Amino acid sequence: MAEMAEMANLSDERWKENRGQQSASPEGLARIGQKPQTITMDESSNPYFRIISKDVREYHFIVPSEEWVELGEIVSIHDRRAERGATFLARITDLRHDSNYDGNWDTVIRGDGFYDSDQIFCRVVAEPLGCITKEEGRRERFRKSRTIPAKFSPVTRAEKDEFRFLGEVMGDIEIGRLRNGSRDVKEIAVALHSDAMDHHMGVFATTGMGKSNFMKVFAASCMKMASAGESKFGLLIVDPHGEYIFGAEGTKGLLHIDRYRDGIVCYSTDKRHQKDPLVSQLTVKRSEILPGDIEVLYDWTPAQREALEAVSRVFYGDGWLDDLLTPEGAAKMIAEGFHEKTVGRIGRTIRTILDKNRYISDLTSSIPGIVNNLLAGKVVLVDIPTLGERSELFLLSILSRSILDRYKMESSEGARGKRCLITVEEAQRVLGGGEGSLARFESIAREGRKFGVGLSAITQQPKLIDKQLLSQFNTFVILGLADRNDRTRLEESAKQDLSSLDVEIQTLEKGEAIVSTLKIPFPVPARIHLYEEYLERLNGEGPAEEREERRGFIPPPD
Amino acid sequence: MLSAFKIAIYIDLQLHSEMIERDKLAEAAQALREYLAPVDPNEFEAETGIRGGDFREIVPQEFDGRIFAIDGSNVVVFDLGAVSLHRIRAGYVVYRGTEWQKTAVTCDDLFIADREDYRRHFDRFRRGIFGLTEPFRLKTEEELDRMPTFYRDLQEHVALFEAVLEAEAGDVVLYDGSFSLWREPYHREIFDRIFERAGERGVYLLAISKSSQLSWGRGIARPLLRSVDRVGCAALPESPWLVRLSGQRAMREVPWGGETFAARLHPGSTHAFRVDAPGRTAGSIDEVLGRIAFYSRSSESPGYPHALFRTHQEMKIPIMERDFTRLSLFEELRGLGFSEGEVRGALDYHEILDSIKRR
Repeated sequence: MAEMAEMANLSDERWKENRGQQSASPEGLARIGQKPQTITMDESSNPYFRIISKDVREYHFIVPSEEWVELGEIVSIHDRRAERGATFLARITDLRHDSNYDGNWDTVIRGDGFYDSDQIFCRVVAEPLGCITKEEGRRERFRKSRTIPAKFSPVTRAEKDEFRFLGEVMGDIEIGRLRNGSRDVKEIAVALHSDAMDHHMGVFATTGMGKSNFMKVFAASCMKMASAGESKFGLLIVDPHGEYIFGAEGTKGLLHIDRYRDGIVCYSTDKRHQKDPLVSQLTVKRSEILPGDIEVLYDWTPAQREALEAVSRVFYGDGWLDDLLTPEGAAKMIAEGFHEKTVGRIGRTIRTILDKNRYISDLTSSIPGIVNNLLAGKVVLVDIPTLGERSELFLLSILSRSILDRYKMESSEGARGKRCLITVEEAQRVLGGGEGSLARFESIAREGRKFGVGLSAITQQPKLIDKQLLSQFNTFVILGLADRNDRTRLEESAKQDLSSLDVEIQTLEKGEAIVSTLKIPFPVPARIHLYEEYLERLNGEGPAEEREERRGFIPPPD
Repeated sequence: MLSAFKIAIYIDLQLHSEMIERDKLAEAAQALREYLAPVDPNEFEAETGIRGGDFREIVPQEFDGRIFAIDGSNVVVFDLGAVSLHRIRAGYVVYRGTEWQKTAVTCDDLFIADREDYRRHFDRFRRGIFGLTEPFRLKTEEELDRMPTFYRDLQEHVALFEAVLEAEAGDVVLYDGSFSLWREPYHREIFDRIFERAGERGVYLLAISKSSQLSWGRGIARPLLRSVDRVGCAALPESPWLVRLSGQRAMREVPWGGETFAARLHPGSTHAFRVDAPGRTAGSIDEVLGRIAFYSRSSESPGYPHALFRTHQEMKIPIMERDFTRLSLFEELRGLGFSEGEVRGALDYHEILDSIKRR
């Protein structure tokens, strides 16, 4: 026991003194000419950020549990097999807790924490986007990948250099910056192609995710191009909320862009807005209204619908609206075999429309001016804050018909001006298919492209838009959708594969977007400019154009 | 609510429990109750000599030295009955604090267990590394049956020696197993060399055993370690503890040249372990176990030295690796002109039966 007690007091230092007994000759395995295989945590054996699996459609790598990695981040994978090297790009689509151990034992909270971070980690699942290779002559080329990166190829967060090629494929309508996870890649602007706009654009987001901000940014970029004479299409915005013209609730409007205000033309039903010299009073001539414009607004019985369709046959000329409301006109319809009650219902409806849409005029019309400005490639803002939903649809119906007719005519004459994009708020009202839809918008969605007319459908419920119509849309701007059915509908209709982005779309924050469009090789994560900041930037690009304050006199409409 | 997994097990058990009568299970449970029953401290003290006051608190101590942990494994790759081929792996891991430093595999080899031709394999290491000149020879049929295990033990001892040579004064080297038991006397001289060298280098050496055959009691052999654990937890419920078993009546083993303890390294642990400490380490057992206890608190395996947990994982030969080795061997044999039928025909028929899995 005494010896044991003595040993218990031995300090490490005393033990070290005995080390003089070491022999100089080899010991252990070295004596038989062997040495252990050693694995250490050095650069070559570090298991993190290296491709470990899986296949052409999905890459896996692991990162330490404490590493901050986000869905949607784009990573680059450097494969040195090829002669000049190749860089694969992949987007993170899933993150999972994982370990090299089987079972569920690590679900029990015990001990002080995990010691072996190389054994307990996060598995990152990434979707391949494509591959950047250097062409002869040192030019970089991005293309879809037909192979997988070599096993253990190193993975890094993609930086601006890897995104340089994206700058070359972006379009001319700037809407934001490239986003990599939560980080912005400030050097790469995200811009839509003017050429793709008559292939229709959908803007999808739940309330408060930034639809209006996006549309203002989009319109501002269109104004800039129109002002410079570089615009390739005219943009029609019918704003039932009165928020685009001067902004609302502390936000700015399109008319605050002093620098490029010659790129926009505004029409308004609001007398306060008409005080601005850039704003004209909105009018629609009675003679421009067709029975079909009324037909699309209400639920009609078959008999009423038949009567409406007969109106064009019964009454000749532009005066049908007034003629039908006279006793003689009613008698004429009854003489055609329609019931008195049916004719009465149509008459009452027309009176209601005329009563509620005070912009309907006997003499003047803004429509020719609107269409001309669209053909000239300008942004046309129709501001109708005081009108109800039915009036908005009524106006949209007349405008879109007039636009489509004019573009068809121009096309047939081979003298078509610039293309046109018609913005439709709450687009599910008119593109839902079936009974609730407006055939006019459906026909634009189906065949407008032939005549250079595209739709910009804004909705928070894409699930309510007809699947076939949605499949005609080639540009999707998705700003966050919580409803699975909404996301599924988009995934089914998109031209690019969005299925792997489901969780990312669900977790998008305000102002963040996924942009899927023609000519950009994969759905691009973007941060949409904050309109007020973008406005400041645009106004800072040069001297503001002179603006007179209108005093009392309101010029006649076009 | 039962998970699907549990339901599957339950159904599986229901199906298979038809194979054995319920009253037999009840009888067995009744019998096991005797072994698992709470310990009467007075009876325990009278039988084993161990009292509640013998338990000492371990004070976990952080230290800046390294912890080495040795383990090994052995799988049958190819069994021809009279002779079998084994894959043997042994080595150690090194930790500094909670940080894994490295893994050293000292043996990852194939071993042909041939009753007539095995000595040269042992002697190569016994003589070459430990300088033992007496030729190795297993003396009984039973020992010959366990030849691959002897060989794996030898490789673990080589790994242990290698770790001791790499360790510096104050470092702790942990061996998975025991320094006594039935390995005597074949490995006795090897252990003596290792203990001697560890002493010279100032390296602490401990063997920690996951299982123990030590028992106590009259009429039935009650598991000593489990009973010690119960008494220890009653005496020191809030802290890790150790108790010296050597010299107590309960220890019926032949002295092996060191001290044997039981230790619970973390109050939240499910187990106490047998700890063997050679003379020098035994003298500093409280301090050494304090160091080990400090690093036995990982979430991966609380209450067990983390380095031993890791080395167990690293040295284990997974089934998949065994199967791959086997397939590669078949490939080699085919290259030598043997047909698959000839190779399969030579296998022990257990292998053939085991290869057919019943759902």
